[in-house]
Amino acid sequence: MHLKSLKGTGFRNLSDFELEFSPTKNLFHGGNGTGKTNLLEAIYYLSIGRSHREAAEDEHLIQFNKDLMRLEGAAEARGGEILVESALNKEEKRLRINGEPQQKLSELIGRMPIVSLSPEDDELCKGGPGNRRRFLDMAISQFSRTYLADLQEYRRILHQRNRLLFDIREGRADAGSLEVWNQQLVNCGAKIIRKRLEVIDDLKEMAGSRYMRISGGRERLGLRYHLSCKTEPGEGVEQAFNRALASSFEFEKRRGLTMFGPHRDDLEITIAGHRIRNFGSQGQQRTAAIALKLAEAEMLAGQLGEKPVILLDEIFAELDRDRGGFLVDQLEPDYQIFIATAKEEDVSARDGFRRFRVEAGRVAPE
Amino acid sequence: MQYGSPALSRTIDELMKLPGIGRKTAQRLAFHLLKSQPDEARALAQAIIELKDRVRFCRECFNATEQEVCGLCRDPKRDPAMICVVEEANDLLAVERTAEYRGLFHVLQGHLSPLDGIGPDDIRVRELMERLGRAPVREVIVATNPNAEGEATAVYLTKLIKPLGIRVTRIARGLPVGSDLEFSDEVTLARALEGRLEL
Repeated sequence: MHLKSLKGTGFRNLSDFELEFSPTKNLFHGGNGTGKTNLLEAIYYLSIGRSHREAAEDEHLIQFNKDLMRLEGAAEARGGEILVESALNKEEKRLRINGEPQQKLSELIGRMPIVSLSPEDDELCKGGPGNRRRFLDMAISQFSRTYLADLQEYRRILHQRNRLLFDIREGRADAGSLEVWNQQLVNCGAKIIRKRLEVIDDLKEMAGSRYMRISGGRERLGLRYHLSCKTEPGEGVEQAFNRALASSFEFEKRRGLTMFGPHRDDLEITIAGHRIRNFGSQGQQRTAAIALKLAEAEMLAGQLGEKPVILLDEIFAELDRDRGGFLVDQLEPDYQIFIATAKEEDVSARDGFRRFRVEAGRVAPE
Repeated sequence: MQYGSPALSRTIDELMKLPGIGRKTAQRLAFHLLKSQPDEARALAQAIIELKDRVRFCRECFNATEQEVCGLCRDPKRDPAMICVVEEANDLLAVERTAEYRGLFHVLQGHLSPLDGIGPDDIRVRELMERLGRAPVREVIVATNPNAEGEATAVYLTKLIKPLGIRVTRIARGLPVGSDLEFSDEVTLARALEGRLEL
């Protein structure tokens, strides 16, 4: 799939823009703070309905002194042409797909698959487990609507159950009523866990070979799903989950929180058998994050039958020249890529790109 | 907000207490009433007063009725050995529209939802259990909504009723009739697969 055009108004620091993209290679260049990353963010927002920046609140996307942000993009996707219009003001978010107003923002996910690589991906290896769960959830949700629906239902059950634990602790509810929520949590949670396990099996191969190719070394990248509840040999996910909930009632009641389930699980990333979070060098961590993201792109392409759009933010600054070039070469020519970079030499070194110059929020094709 | 008339702002404030009505809609309705014929507004007011005075909940099934026991519960043609449990009276009407169901109903008047402070004692569960103890019931069909709260309520009822030796069934989650498989949305189809039946 590829994004053909993007029109925007009131988005971050960007002046109103209307851009036509190359179906293969696009490059935004300009100094720091000019708005290159904001352009990538606009593309991401159009595809997913929220920012890929962790700290970004929706209202921060609206330009200072403006009331409204609007994006409109046309893409060529597997189902034909798709037109997405996204608008956001202080009160509400609006979404139209091919002119049809959409009630649920989740309708958008997976229609325009996308994978973003940015310096913030370092958190994937260095940061807390939430980063890795988000990575898995986003990767899977883009090709499985069922998974996305299960996630939403799970969150709802979790909220209900946490509230009930709290009420039980405060003596406002009866401990007996917890059981029905346990059953809901386990049924829904087990579906999520099984899907994650299945996907990790796929990702493991792809990320492993990507890692070897990028690092040029012999170190093995490993992925393993880490359950928050301990399993006995021969025990299924449901059983282990149920047992954990049953044996930790007092603990959970004290905390007023559900301590087991897919919302507490982790994806363990290892290099040569060692956990990268504790033992990996910065270079290893970065290479592993890139390998994971590329594996995500490859997996999405396989699952959806079309290649996702790839965003590369300052990736040249993060890897040495040879590796950066290698990265782009790995993606060419099948993927539509958008690169944002501040380094002029990266730009001049590469041809075949449609270039856009970004200066103080203004974007112009060269 | 100032509307230049206390009566007008009071009407708007009262209308805004209704579900699904925000300030704008309330204003539109209030101005509509203001412009309408005097009889029309009076008829509405009268209907609301009578609604509260006359309508109550059926002693048996908690459906809305003007009698002690509702028409459905008194109908000799209905099968009293079958009870369909729904969350709200609206859901009862939906099942009735099918014209396929010949048993009785039980309206829970809610679902389990700790977030809203609603536990088993806040919905008509105790009344259902009393009913099951009074009359011989063969089957209870649980027709709560197919969402987290509805499912939890269904599981809760099953745990209570099954030990009485009464058959408990749950309505299926499935595909809309007359639709093509290829056009149905993935989530509905996945749920239908989960709930597949042996042929």
